[in-house]
Amino acid sequence: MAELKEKVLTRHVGHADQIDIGAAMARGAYTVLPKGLKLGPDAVVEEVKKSGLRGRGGAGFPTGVKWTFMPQETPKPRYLVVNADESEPGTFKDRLLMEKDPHLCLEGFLLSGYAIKASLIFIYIRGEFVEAYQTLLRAIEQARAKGYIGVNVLGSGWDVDVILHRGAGAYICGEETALMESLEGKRGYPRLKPPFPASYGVYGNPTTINNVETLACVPFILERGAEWFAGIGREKNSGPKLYCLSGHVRRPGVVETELGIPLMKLLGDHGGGLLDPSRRLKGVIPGGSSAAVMTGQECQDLIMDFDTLASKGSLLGSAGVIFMDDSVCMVRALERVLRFYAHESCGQCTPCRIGSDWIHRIVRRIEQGRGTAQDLDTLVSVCDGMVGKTICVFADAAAIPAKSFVAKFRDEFNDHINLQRCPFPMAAGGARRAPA
Amino acid sequence: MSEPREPREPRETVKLTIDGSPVEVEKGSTVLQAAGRLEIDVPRYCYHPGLSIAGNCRICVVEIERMPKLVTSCTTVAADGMVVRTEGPKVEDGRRAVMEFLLANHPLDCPICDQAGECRLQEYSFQHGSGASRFLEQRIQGFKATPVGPHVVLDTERCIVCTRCVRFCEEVTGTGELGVFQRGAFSYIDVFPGREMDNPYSGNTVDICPVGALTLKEFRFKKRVWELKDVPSTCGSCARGCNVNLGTADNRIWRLTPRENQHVNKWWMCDEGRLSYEPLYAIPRLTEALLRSQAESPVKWPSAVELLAAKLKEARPGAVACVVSASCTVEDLYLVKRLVAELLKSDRLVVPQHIRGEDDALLIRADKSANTEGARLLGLPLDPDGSRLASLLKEAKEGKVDVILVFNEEVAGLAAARANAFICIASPFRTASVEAADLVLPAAAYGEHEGTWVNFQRRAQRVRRALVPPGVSLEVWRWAAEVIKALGSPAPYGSSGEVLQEIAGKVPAFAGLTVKGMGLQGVQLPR
Amino acid sequence: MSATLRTGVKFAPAGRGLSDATLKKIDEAIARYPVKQSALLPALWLAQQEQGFCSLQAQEQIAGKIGVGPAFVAGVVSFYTMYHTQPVGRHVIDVCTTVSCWLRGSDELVQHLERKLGVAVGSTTPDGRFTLRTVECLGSCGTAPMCQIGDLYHEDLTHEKADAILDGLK
Repeated sequence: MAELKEKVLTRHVGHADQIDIGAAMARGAYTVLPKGLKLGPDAVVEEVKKSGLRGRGGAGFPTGVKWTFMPQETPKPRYLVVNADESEPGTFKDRLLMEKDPHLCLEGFLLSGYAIKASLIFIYIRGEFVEAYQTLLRAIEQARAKGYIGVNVLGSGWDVDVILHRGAGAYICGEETALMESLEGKRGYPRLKPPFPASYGVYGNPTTINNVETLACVPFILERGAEWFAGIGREKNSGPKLYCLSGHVRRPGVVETELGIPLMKLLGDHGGGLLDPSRRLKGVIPGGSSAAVMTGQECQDLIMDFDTLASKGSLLGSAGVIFMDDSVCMVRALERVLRFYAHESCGQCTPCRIGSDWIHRIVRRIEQGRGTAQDLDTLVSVCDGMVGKTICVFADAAAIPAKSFVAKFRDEFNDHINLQRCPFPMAAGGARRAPA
Repeated sequence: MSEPREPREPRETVKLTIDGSPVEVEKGSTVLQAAGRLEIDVPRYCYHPGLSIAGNCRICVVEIERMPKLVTSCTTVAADGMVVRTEGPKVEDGRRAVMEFLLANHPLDCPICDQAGECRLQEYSFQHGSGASRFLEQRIQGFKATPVGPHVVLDTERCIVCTRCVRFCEEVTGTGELGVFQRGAFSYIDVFPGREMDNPYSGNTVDICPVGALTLKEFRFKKRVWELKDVPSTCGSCARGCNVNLGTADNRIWRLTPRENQHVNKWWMCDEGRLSYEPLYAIPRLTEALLRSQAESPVKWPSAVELLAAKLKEARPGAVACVVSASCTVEDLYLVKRLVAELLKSDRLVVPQHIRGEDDALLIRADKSANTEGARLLGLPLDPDGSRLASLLKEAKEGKVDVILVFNEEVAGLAAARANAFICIASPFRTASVEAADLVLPAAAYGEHEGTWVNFQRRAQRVRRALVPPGVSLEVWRWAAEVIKALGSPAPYGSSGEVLQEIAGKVPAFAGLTVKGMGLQGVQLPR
Repeated sequence: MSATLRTGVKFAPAGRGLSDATLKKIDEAIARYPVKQSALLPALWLAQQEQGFCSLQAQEQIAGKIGVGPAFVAGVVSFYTMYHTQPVGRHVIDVCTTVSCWLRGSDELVQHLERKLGVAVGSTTPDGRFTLRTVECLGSCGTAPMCQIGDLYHEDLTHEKADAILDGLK
């Protein structure tokens, strides 16, 4: 396990003028693009494959491999779609990159678009990120003026255009096929798979969708080599990683470190420890709220990489690390998590449309002191009726965490039911009822 | 849609096993379709063969060997060597879960819901549901009984958002009046505020709605579907002849629903046809033979026939005119022609045409008669521009006509043109134009007559009797047969089938046509 | 039990059509995409920029330009939380209340704002100045609690800081 010695992705985010192409270029922006264009698309794909880069949007799928799904020969236009819809609770790393180093992002997008021979790069950015949108828009125009976007980029023979497209408030549009539907001007309903985006994507054309942070790694991979990248972190879980710390942590924010850092080191060295040092760590959601919760005990030796977390029944996901100390009522925490899913379900398929709302209401009722003896069994059963039975994994994202809270903090749920009230009246969130 | 299908080239197939039985299907078929070939009826809400695949209800799940999760059979393409189970604990559990979800927010409307008896929620609940509800939460309330169009009423609380109706309006009619609003558990289907679903096929959304969310205004609360006897027949509102089911009870029609016929109407019918039974109960019926000279008191029909035969014998040669409807059956028209053209040797035979509007891109034909093609094949003179009728009336006015026979047609200006002619009108309805008649014969109306219609595609289809006609009403062919007999010629027909038998023997266009041969889907007559 | 749980989008009744300037911008948006329909969300943003919400008239005009039915457009408008179907206050305060912000006091912040503005969440002040809403994760969990007003994020909020921001908004 090799530590990250110096900042990579976030090395220039501290400079206010980094959003300006002149200043960014003085610090090295767009120096890798010409190199990549000389390598040829297939060589770029190979290098990214060798690096072991895994998707940082949530699924952790090997990026280079994903790129090879694009058809070798096709008369159809190819597209790269950048998923900048960052909406996973606890996550705010893509926003940092786009707001503070847009040219790094663009260079990554362009190199990746070139690798998959895309003629059009769509950037789908969530509607709420107005500053990032405006910053990127300016950056795109600056890059276009310099010839990095357009016809025959840097004499390579490659033509590409970039369209920056705003969403309008829907978490589900971060799901890659729902994103495509939204991009095509529809309700954000995930598509049936197969077909997969590489064969049938935007407008039915071969499409690859990647996360912002994932693509921001590409210039570094090409500049410093796949081996350099693979040498950071752990085997099969490599490279620099942005972790988003939030909740009961002294220094919340984005932390760049090696992928696979131990959680307690992340909390202690980078996060400054718990917000209230007199308290005890009660639970952590390690990868955005779609990840199963880990108890304070489980956190003690937890390694924050894709494979370790998966082996423990959770996910690294979007690396949104949410810390909860022992002032938190876990029933109330779950209610808050499930309220998110109830609001964000697209409603397309039966188990999720009804189930996401139902499990939230059960937990809310338990939290309000009106739980019944059967509720926990019903809750788990309804969750089982959702997992693996829907068009997309949103249902899993709601149901698996729900089951994890109940399994790991069952006593608290039972107390609410038996006492017919919350045993932590002054827990986080206060005694008053939260707005519905 | 209008051309008969050519025989297909043999296509690539795949072989798979479903519930232990082997089946071979065309490559590209889904597992659900393959199961259908084995007559395994996998439960489904959102899937409809005439619409795009949505895959959102999740009840059609099946187990496929080597696939870790249940998959929806409507979205899974059948592949060689697949081993599929449509039954078993895992599948049952998946279906039970979907049923529980669908019923969680569903109102307890069965006692007042039209869909009862043909509702897939009821059906699958019975087969796959768990029996008791565990949903203790507050229900989300929606809109009850809200008209969304001239014929369709929406109840969003019953809706399971399968989107069949939305897809129908997008894909089949191209009118897109319906949309899904909001998201998540608050999703509901509606029209744009201030607009309505007024396309000419809106009633089909009621057919395809698997639950009682969409109901037909004209049928709401009229009858329980288990009280209806469905009689397969053909619609007579235009020259397409959509295949239909007459929903009958108490000797009347309560609704028309389309029957699938891939050659004629796929799965659909238009609203005008769907409601074409309404005049049967809105316009007064003729039930007895009536003689004007006797101050319109009823006459026993044998006497009426004798009287008419006498008038016809008295008439000068060829001085008999006849106006007969293009919606009469082939059997009706054949015997009328025999009577007028052969026996009475008159060429004053007119078949008026009723053209309204234009053929649309879907089902509706501008020709509003059910059997124009049948009339044409029998060699009857059609009157597209009305000139034949005009000249017939002119001749009547000039005193050249002694008897005018009218079968199931409204002839404007008949009274004014009669001069001294004896007018006999056969019609089901007592309309104003019937007042011109000296003799009125009550005719069987739609649903009361049995016979053959040939549609614009030259497809011969059966229109069936489902009801007992009132009083002494008879089918037109029977009246014609009685008059023929009264004139001394043989007409030994016990049923319309026997008339058809003679037609098939004598008229080349109908050679080989039998009632049995037409079955429920009709028969394409050769060009 | 709380009050009736109803579904149903509230669309504001009769409004105005979009200005020629906005219609022109919509045409320009359409021209940027390979397929017209992709301009639907951008067109709705332009409509909302002009009118403050997506009026029924605007939806019908946009439907015509994009080549889809009005019901389809209304379905899109009502799917996304950032489009308003009714007029809102001059400043819409969207307070994030998802789990990370909740852990850092978003509920107390909301209650404070309700008291300060004298309206409940989901309502607009009588003078038309503020609409107060709670929303889901805004991607600012490191600076919780926070809110979005218009284009701007207001982060690391204390009750005093929030007061100062609101007092400064006309």
